[in-house]
Amino acid sequence: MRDVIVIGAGGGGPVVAKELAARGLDVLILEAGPRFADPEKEWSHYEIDANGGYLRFGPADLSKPAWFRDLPQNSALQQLSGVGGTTLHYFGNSPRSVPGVFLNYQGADKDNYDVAHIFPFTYRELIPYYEWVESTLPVETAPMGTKEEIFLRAAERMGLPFQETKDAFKAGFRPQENAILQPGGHAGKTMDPALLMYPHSKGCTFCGHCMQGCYLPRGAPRNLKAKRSTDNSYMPMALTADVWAHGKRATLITDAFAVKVTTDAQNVARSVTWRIGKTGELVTEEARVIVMAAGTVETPRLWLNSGLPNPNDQVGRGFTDHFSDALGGLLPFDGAMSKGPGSNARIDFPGYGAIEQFVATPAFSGSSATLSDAGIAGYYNNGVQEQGSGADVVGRVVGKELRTIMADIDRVLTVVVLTDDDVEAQNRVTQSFAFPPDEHGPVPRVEVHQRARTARTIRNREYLNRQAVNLLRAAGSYKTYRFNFPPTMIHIHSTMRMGLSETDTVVEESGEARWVKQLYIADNSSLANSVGGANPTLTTQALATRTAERIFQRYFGGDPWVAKESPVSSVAEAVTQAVQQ
Amino acid sequence: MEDAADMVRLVGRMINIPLSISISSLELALSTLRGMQKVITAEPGTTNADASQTATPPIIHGAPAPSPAQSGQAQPAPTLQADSIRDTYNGLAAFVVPGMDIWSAAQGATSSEPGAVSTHVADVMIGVLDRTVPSPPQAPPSSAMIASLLNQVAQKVNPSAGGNFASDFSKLSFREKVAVFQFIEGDPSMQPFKRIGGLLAFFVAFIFYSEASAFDFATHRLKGRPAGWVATNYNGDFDGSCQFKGYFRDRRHAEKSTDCA
Repeated sequence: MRDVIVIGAGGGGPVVAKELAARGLDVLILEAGPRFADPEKEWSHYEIDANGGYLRFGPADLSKPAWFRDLPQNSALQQLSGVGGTTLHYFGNSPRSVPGVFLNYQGADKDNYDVAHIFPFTYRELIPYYEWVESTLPVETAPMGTKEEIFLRAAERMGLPFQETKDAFKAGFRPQENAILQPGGHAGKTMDPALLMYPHSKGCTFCGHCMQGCYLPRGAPRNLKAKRSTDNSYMPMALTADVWAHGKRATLITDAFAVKVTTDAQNVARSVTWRIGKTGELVTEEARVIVMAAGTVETPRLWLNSGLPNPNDQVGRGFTDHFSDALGGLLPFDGAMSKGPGSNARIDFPGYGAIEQFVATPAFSGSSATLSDAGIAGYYNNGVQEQGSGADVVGRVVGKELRTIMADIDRVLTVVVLTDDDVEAQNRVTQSFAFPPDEHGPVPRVEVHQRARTARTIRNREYLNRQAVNLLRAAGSYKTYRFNFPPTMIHIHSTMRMGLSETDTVVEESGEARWVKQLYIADNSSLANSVGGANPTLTTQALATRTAERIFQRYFGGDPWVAKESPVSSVAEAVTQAVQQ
Repeated sequence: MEDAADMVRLVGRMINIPLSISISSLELALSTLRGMQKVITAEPGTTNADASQTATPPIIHGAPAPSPAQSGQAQPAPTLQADSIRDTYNGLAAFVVPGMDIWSAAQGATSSEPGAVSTHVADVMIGVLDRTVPSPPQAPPSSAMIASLLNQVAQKVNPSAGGNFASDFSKLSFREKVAVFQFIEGDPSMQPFKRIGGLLAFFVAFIFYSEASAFDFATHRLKGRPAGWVATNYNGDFDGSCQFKGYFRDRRHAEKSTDCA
């Protein structure tokens, strides 16, 4: 019998796989989407070719349509399949969560968070796991280009403090802590393709294409690609754990969509059944421990489709998404807004959320300007009342106004708002009743009650928008736009959440499911809340590391390691040699 | 059109357009629209702008359209010709990204540069909608149904709009087209389709501003500079830039916190 089956090779699954493979366990990791074994050949820098083409939530066979999700409201859902999952197009932003969303936080602002849905352990307890992951990925302070300098100087002019530590206790601005290798050699200093090859360039080359998947520098071994999405970091380590560690290499099967988790009569997890995309064949394998890491939508879907117990009706509930928004400011000078990493600068407002800079690329910027469900700017608002962000233009931008804002992409300072949004039971993932099942079973329905959020969530979003407009003006913008997004689900979490109470949680603080033993969750869905508006991946990965320890202790008789060992970085020479073998 | 074929193939790989619309309920809504007597007007003053901006006056048109029979039975669906469908999506393309074309001129909002009409966005929208939004057997293709929706609402906004277009939507002024979307997004009878307005604009903009107009599907390379890149002064087909200026305040690493809750 296999020791562990991990379902999903996205942000969290490879973390568990690597940690347990390094301990010598026999680990199988299943991934529904493509392998992406040779991204230099398979990927490009083009926006539609990437997002919708090879980066999508769909089968490994790119000629087949993407998988369908039922979204009964005006919203957009951004998730990816394939090894790396949604980290494939993420910006590597790896801030820690704000401390205020954890147990026993005693700051003066302790009532300013989602206090009904805090993590069931302290922030201090998670720090060693943060440090472990930060060393493994690794996470490094983001370098500065023209657009970053504009953002950071504007934050200075706003009078905000400069944050120098990794822990956001107070409002402050800083370069991002990113899972992106800092530039070395000619990187960031040349456009010459020959000099941009590894080893002449190392780390981030400032290409501006984080959103299309990172395969640079060309010629670099997979584990030395600049962005530390899990396909470049944790997965190579998991697959070579017998070389750089005294472990056992994990087995990876792609094009394998898990369709059922089965249990025995005592509600102990026993096996996983998956469907091979190419043939339609169903395969079942048993394991001592099963880890669900298919993501905030697919993990509850798999749970429900498997008929696993749900006695408190919490599976799928509590969906949080940072109720994001975006703003643009027109600058009277060239700000190089399309060049360089996706997001290298941020401002944290603990208790409210965060705002961060966003690279401007034509299709994403143009379509973001048209995304609003709050009517066409200057004409109607669909009943969505603007609450005083101060922006000059609010809502969907079309026609000549769209041409105006898009006339020179390098002069559009773009900022994204990440709201510290409350967990609400009404926002949830269920099985769709409106659409028929697909080849994997009932399709998921992702229901978000549009703008009927808690007063705190709304307050936070409007506060961050005002701050963002202030930033745009401090940067020199002569015209400001607030696009007023509908639910745009880029960061999604907390649908299989942990927490203090059995009545509103699905997993224990160890990550183990409350009603099914030997079944764990290790993706964003197990987060207790929206981590205060921080980009969630680092917290998920720290939690997944902790969950891996719990699995090893409880079911394999082992000892925890984070407190007493030093992590091996995914860019260590031993890993590079292992990857190149 | 052959020029659009690569674009359709490229864009058609995108995720199932998340319209989640039921074609049968769209048929019902279209039938309701045909039986509607009232003329659609835009609601005045409900803008998102600051108070300093003036309110938008309502759009009011002449006599209502002749009332159909009051039997409550569905009116037979007029069959949209291919010309009319394409015409409709050109009118949509011009609305979102105006250009130098006749559809932009007719709406009274143009640009001195090519817009979405020039890059075959209409053909791409038709191809992609038909491929990704399922239509029941015997029903017209999805692109035709959605075009019908735009045209029938357009008839109610301005039944006497003139112009040498097969599509009633394309005959409208820019502000009248706004009224069409305001109705679709706000009228209770349009509840299942309220998302269509925003999504249609989103896709027009995404397609126009992307690499689609110059993408060679066979080679996965560009065969020229995409129109959207020209429009935005963008040139992103490179592996690196010369943007690295160092580290803010010369700080390459974050400090460990000494304050831990």
